[in-house]
Amino acid sequence: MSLIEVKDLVYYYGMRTPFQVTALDHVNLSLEKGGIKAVIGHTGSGKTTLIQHLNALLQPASGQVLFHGEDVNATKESAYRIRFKIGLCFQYPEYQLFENTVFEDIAFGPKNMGLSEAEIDRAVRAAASYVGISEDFFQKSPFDLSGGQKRRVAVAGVMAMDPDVLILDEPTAGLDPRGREMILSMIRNYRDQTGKTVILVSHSMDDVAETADEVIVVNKGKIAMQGTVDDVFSRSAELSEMGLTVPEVTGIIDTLRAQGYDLPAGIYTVDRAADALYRYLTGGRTL
Amino acid sequence: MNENMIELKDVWFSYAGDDEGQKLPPVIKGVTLDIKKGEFLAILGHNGSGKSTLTRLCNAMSVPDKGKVFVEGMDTADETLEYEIRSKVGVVMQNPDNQIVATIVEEDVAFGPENLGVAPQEIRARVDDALKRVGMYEYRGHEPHKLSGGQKQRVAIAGVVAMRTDCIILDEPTAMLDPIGRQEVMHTILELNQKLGITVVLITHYMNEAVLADRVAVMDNGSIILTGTPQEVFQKDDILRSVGLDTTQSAKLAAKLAAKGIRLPGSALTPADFIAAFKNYSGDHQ
Repeated sequence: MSLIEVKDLVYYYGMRTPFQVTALDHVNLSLEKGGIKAVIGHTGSGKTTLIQHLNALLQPASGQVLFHGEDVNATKESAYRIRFKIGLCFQYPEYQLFENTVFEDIAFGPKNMGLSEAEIDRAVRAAASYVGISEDFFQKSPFDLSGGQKRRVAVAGVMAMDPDVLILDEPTAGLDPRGREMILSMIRNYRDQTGKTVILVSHSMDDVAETADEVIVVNKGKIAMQGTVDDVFSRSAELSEMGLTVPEVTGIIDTLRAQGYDLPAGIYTVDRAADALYRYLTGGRTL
Repeated sequence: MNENMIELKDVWFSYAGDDEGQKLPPVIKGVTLDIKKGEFLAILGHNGSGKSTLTRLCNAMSVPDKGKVFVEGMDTADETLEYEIRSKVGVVMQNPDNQIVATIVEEDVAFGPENLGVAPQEIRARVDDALKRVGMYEYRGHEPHKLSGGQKQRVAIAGVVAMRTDCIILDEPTAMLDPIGRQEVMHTILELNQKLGITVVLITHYMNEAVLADRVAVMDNGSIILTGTPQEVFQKDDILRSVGLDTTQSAKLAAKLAAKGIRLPGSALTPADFIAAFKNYSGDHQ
């Protein structure tokens, strides 16, 4: 049994109004436990709508979302419970910080779960360590932190609920290169240390290339592709048609390929591109 | 005739603290910079480096504690010139949702010229022209909140274009956009600079946007630490990295090849440059 099973899911915006639009069009998707899964698609593709169904924030017009085989919308109680199991961190989560101290903000989720003081303390410390926020920050106001730090505190707030699945919607949006690199390495650490499943929603193909174990491409309310990073990035022409831009090096290699250079497809990191070009120029020999 | 659009002369600035008379540590520390008429200048820096404060100083939203800022020769510290300065320098901010004021696209674009006291018929002509310039004319009757992020930013840019300012400062205008929206906005910015001759100051931390500029200035900790053409600035990748910035993937790829003993001719900051350089090299070596 898959960890998450999406079955024939249909969702409309403005249902039963003259402005009804199909947001999700009979989506089927299986997600296995573990690893970082990237959900990509351009604005309006339905990717955010899809992930909001995974923890029952939206109820489908038809179809089902199964978590460990159980329908997340079976009862009100199951929909409530699922939100602690599948933690969702929205875009620009730093706008949702509101407590007086960093500690209290991270503790908000665990408190709502009814944990004891000792358990809350343990959960907050663990989450803070995943995101690299040291104890020196615990008594500070979250509003005195830098943008990148605020975002890490907000993500820690979701991690502190110890969910089975952590969903992050555009976690690097608007960050500078240093902030972005910090968030991405923090996500990789979290995966490695906890073995949990992470779902990363992104339109940054560079982020996906650097972090994902599996890629799901959403286009026009349907799943257009699902596979390894290699599989998906080797279809760069199709990705471009869907309004997704491939990493700069992928574009370079593909342009050269189209002009008759004998280079492998599916290259998406600078290192691999350098190796491939080097091999091409030297014919396997060393210069 | 002054060749400079904006001149910053040894500018220092700090924000006021919570207590009366209290000043926080300076965020701009002795910046001297000339922004030439008609140029496209990119200002690079990580978050908190002082880029956005510099924007505020360039259109008299903030006034230096020490040093001077001149906009077309006008001292920004002279309060009587405030209106005139803002009619020369327009600003587009990062978040498109924070700068839309009207419920219909064309009304939003008309807001700036209305406030400048432009005659109604002239406003009509300017709004239509500005919306055509940014490729949003067909959306003139739409509600702004239903547009995509890239479209909203282009409406915000049209609002500045309709004010006929000589200079546009854009403070991370693409940070909240998806790749397509980012391309739309960059295309619009280049058009305004090249076709209308508007001076453009683009504040960004995307290297692949900065390489499109005529000149790049790098800020760190309130000071400008590097200026030059993109080719000159991006060669100093060690300095860029030390201040939390990066170079482009194309440049990184060229550097990796160089480390393996393959030195491509010329600069390779953009994919097109890289491909040209690679072809040159491979033609010469086979």
